[in-house]
Amino acid sequence: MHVDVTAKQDHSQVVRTGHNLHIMRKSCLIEHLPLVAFLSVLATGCQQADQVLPFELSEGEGATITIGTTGGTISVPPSFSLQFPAGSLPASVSVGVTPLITAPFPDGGGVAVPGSAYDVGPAGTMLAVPARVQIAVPPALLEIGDDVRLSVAVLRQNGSIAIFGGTYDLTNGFLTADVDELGWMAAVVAEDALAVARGIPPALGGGAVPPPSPAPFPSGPALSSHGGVQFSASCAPTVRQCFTSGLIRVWADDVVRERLGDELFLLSPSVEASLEFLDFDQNGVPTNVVGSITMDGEVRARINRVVSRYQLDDGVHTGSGDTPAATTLSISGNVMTFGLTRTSANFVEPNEQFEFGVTGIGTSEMLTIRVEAEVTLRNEDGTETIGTIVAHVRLRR
Amino acid sequence: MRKTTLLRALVALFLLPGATIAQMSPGARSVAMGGGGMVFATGVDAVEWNPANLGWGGGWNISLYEAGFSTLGSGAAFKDMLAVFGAEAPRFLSFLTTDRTVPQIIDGLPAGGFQFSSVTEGYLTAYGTRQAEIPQPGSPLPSIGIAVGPIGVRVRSRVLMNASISRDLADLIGNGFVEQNIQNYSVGNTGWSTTSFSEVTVAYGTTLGGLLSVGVGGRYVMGHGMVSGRFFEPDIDLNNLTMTVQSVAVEATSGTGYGLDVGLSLELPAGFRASASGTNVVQRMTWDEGLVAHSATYAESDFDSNVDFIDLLDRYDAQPITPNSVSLEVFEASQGLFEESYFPQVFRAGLGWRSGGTSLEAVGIQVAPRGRYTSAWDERLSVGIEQKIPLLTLRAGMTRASDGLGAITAGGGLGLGPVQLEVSGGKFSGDGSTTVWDGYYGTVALQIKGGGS
Repeated sequence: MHVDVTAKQDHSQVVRTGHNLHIMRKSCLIEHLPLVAFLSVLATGCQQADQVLPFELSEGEGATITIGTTGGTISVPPSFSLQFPAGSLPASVSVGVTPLITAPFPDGGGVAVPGSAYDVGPAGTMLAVPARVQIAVPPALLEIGDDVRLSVAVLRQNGSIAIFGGTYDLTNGFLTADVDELGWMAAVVAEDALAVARGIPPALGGGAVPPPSPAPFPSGPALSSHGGVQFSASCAPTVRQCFTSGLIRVWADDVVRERLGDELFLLSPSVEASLEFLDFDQNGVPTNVVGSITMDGEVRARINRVVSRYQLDDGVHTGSGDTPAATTLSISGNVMTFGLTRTSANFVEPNEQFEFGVTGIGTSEMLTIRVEAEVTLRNEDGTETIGTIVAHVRLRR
Repeated sequence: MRKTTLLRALVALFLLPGATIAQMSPGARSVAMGGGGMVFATGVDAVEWNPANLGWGGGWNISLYEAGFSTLGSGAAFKDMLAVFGAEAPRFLSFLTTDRTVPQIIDGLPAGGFQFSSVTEGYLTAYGTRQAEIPQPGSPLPSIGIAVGPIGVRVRSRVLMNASISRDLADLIGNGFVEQNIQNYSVGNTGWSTTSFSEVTVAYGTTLGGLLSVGVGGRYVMGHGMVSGRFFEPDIDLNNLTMTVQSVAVEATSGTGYGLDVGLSLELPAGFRASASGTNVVQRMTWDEGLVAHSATYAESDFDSNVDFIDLLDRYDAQPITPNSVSLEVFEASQGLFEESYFPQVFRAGLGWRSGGTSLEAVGIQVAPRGRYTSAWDERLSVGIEQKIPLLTLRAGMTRASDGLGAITAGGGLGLGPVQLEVSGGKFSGDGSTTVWDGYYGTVALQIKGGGS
C-alpha cells in the first residue's frame, strides 16, 4: 500500500512539472484502462438479433379466414396461398387451410410432392370464377424432368382427382394454377402426361377402310347408306387416360422445339373422335363421311426458368354447320380428302386433307388419322416462322 | 428503345422501392480526403467521426446544410448502366455518355448482371421525389448540425439503395421484348432495397489530462421506410406469345433505433495525433411490423415502348399485409426484409500529422460482419492531405477497400469570414476478382465557423 501511494505521488509530480510527457501518457492510459475494457466488452456483446416477420407459423398450423364475394387471399406461409377473385364465391365463406401432414394425398393424379398437400375447405365448394392456388415446391425436391409435369391436383367431392397444370417458377419454386373446386390439394408430378416426340412422325400407310358387313352389293356409282362403318376414340383424364390408352401420340418439329425447348409434354389430354363412313362405291371405297375429332390439353414447356403452358384446344368436324354433317370423301393413297370441314376456330375449309393409315388389330381395324397444327412464330427481324405440331389419333372400329 | 432524361433515370435508380449501405464518409472534408479525415475532424464533423475530438475545443460551428451522394456499380460501367435505361446525359455531363451500343453493353455483362448502390441525402431526395411525383422516402429531416465547444448535435438523413438487375432483364429493358428470344428472359436475381432514415446524434468530448481526449455520442434513429422488392419470373402466355412480369415490394413504413458511439484521441509529439472510435458499439433498430405490400405487373409492351420509368414506378399499388392473407410473392419479397436490418458496429483508427496549414491523415476502418447498412467501400484504408491557404483549403486523398475497390478524391473549401463552402468529390474504380467497380460520389456543405482551428 505504501509503495502504491508513493508511485502515484511520483506520477502527479511529473505531470505537474510537465517534464516527462511519456510518463504522463502512460499514466492516462493505465488509469482509464477499465473504461477501455468496458467499451470493448460492449462492442462485442451488443449486436441485436434479427426481427421476425409477422406471419411466421408453427409447423402444421393452418389458417381460417372469411372471404366474401369481393374476393380475398388465404395463405399458410411460406408454402401455400389461395387467391379468390371477385365473384369466385357466391357468398361469404369461412375458408380454412390446414397442411396435410399425416394423411397421404390419394393416388390417381400422379406422385404427390412430399409436404405439399393441404386440406382446403369447405371441401366441395365450387368456384364460379377459378381461384389461383400457389404451392411452394423447392426445385431440389424434384427429379430431372419432373418440373415440366408438375401440377396441382384437387380431390373433388365425388372422389375423382382433377389435375390443373398452370405454371412453375423454377427460381422461386412457385407452382401456380387456377382451380375450380375446394378440397384436398397437392403438388403432383402428373402421371397423365404424354411426352411430345421430336421431329415429324413417319408417314402413315393408308389402306382400305372395310365396308360394313355384310358387304354391300355394288349397284351403281355409289351406294346409299347401309349403316356405315364407325371408328371412334375417347380418352380423358377422369375416365380412360390418354397416357395409358395409347390413343394419341404427339410430335413437334425443330422450329417449335428451338423456341419452346426440348422437353415438351402434353398434360391431361382429352380426345374425342368419331368418324362414320356412310357410303361406299362399287369398289368398297367410302365416299361419304360424318364425324369429328377434338383434342385438348396443356402443352407444357420449360422457358428458361419458367414452366409455361400452351392451351391446346383443337377440333375439326365434317360439314360447314355447327354440328357434324355428312360430307363427300375421296381417298388417294394415304390421304383422305373431306369435302367440307369446319374447325373449332370456325374456319370452313373445303377439301381438307388428312393422312391416314388402317391397320388390323385382332378381328377389327384401327384407323390412325394425322392431325396437324401450325404455330406461327415471330422473329426478331419481323419475319414469321411456321412450326408444326402433329398428332396421330388412333380410332378403333 | 425507351428514352428518358438523365435526371429522371437517376431519380428512378435512386428510388426504386436489399442490403443497404452507408455513406462514403460523413462530411465534405473527409470525403475529399479519401474517406479519411477522422483524426483532425472538428465541430459537427467530429460528432459522427470521433466524439473525442470535441474535447479538444475548436470553437463553434453550425452546419447549415450538407448534401452528398454516392453511387457504386459493379458488373458494368455507370455510364453503360444509364445507357441501358435509355438515359441521355446533357452535354456538360458528357463523361456519363457511353460510346457503346446497348447490344454491346448487354453482350459484355457478366452472367450475374449488374449491381448498383447509392446513398443520397434524405431531405433533398424527398424533395426530388415530390417534384417527380413518385413514391417518397418518408419525411426525412434536413441534414444540419451545431457544435459548441465540447458538445455537438448532428442531424443527418439518408436514403440508401441497392439494386441488382439480371443480364436477361437488362436485355429486356435495353433492347425491348423480342419474341424470338423468349428463352432468354430470366428475371433471376433482380431485386432492390431502399432504406430511408434520419439520425439525431448528440456527442460530448472531454480531455483527460492534457493529451488524451475521450468522447461519447448517443444517436436516435427515425426510420422513415425500409423497402425490399424483387421481380418474379415472367408469366409467359405461349398461346399468344406474350409475357407479363410481376414485381412485388414489401415495406416497413417506420422504425426507431438508437446507437452509442465512443472515441478517444491522443496527442503525440511532433504534431502527430492518434485517434480511435467505435460507432454503434451499442445499438438497436426496430422496424414497424405493420407491413405494406406494393405490387405491379408489367407486360412486354412496357419494355418495348416509350413508357417512362417514372410511369412504371407509379404502377405500384399499396396494400396492408395481413398475416395468413399474403401471396407467395409477397411472402418471398418480404424474406430478408428484416435480415440484419440494423447498423453495424464500425471501428476506426487513424494517425495524423499536422503542421501549420498542412494535415496528413491515414485512417483504417473495420466493419463488424453483422448489420447490413454497410457497403463495399466502408471497410477500407484511406489516406488524405489537406492544405490551407488564405481563403481556400485544398484536399485530396485516396482509398483502398476490399476486392480491388479503390477511389481517388479531391475537394476544397472556400472561407469567406465565418462562412465556409466546401465541395468534394471522387470516383470509385477497380478490378476485383469477380467484378469491375465504377462509381462517383460528392458532397457539398455550407457551414459557419467561429473560434478554434
